[in-house]
Amino acid sequence: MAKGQVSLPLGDLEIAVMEHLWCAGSADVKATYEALQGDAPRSLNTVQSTLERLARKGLLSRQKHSRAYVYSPRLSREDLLLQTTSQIAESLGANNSNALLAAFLNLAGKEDDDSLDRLQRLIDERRNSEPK
Amino acid sequence: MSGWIHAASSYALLLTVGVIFGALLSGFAFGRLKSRLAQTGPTARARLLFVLLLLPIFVALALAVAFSAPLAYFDAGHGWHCGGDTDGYAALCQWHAPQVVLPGWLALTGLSLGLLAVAASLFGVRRFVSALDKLKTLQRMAQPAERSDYFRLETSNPFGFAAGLKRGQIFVSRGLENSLSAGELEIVLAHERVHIRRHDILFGLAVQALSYLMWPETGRSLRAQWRLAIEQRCDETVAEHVGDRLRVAACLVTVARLQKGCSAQHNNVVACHLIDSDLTTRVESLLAGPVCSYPRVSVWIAGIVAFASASSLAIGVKLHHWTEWLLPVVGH
Repeated sequence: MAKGQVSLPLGDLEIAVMEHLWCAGSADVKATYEALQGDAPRSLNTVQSTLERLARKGLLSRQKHSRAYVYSPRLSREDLLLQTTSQIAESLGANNSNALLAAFLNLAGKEDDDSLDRLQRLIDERRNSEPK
Repeated sequence: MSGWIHAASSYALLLTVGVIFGALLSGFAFGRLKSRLAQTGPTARARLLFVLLLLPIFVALALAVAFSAPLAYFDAGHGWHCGGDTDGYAALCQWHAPQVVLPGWLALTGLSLGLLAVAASLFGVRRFVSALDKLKTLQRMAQPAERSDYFRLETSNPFGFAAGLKRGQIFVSRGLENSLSAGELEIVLAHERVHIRRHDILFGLAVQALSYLMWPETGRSLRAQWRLAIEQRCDETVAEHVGDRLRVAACLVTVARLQKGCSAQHNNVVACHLIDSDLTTRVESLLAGPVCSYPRVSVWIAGIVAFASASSLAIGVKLHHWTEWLLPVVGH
């Protein structure tokens, strides 16, 4: 795993914990456990081990406050989304990622502004030459 | 060495020879057809390129069948050793696994090649399974869009793609959704729907695996041409559906501008990791109008497959004799 990259994939409970921490900013095990009771009820131990696992995967940081650890996300939701998509592409080779993804268009900066302008001009000319 | 090791190493060697021969044949046919492919419609082009990519596997299997099947019977008239089976090896006029005595180094080469191929496949499968798992994470984080069949990704980066093998799903970022008009977004979604309907993602995976069997340059070229063909096929289908080729072309340029602006701001974001598609070719072919399929593409496909089969069978029958006759001689 490259430096700064998080370890994926994430399961349902891990995502639920992350969603809670993105909303709350930071929380300890008990607060997270109580927040998750609305969905499928989980035991305190399960929530605690999930938080630990997320910290090991590089998604959470933790700090000790009195006797309990307080966890906070190290990545924003958007950053995690981008990392996940990038890692899917990387898993299949940076240059050959289309095996799993079929993107509408991905240029990676290949086309310069001049060629985009030229294409736009061609389209406009064709549109103007069409009978009204 | 025991019989099954001889058989395994013989087949590993044979399949390697078949793949090399098929790759040569495919490369030759691709070189000859390259200029004609440009005049071919994207659907026919994608099919022909896929056949060319399949050729090494096809030839290897044809060789293996010819090597072990009782086809040697038809060559009995040449009298290699089919009639008088007195050398301790099984008769060639009925099916049997190859019972050659390979010299140690040759058997080791065959086995090593076989094991290498298995290891490479396992590595590829592992990477692919890990990508599928990560895709599930993305699905869990995405929100279904209201009144449509796609999933929204909450990011300002403008991108959209279809993903998944069995049941493909479309993902569109909030950035792309907000930057495009309703009509342009519908073009992007229609394009991705065509990918899913035609199982392009599954075929793309097969193309990627098959292209590794070719010479690197030919493999890269075939893969790129196939991807361009399927993108153009989607563009054509959407243009037909929308009834305005210029709108589809303009949408391509709009998305290109959005992604270009984004990749200049954020290095190492999604857009930089995915493949680049040949925008100029796609837009110019939309402006040029629909291309009629080159009428003899099916003839070319049939010809290539027939030649590959005939030559494999011809070589395979002889190979059966040659291997059984020559290798023990070399070995002793």
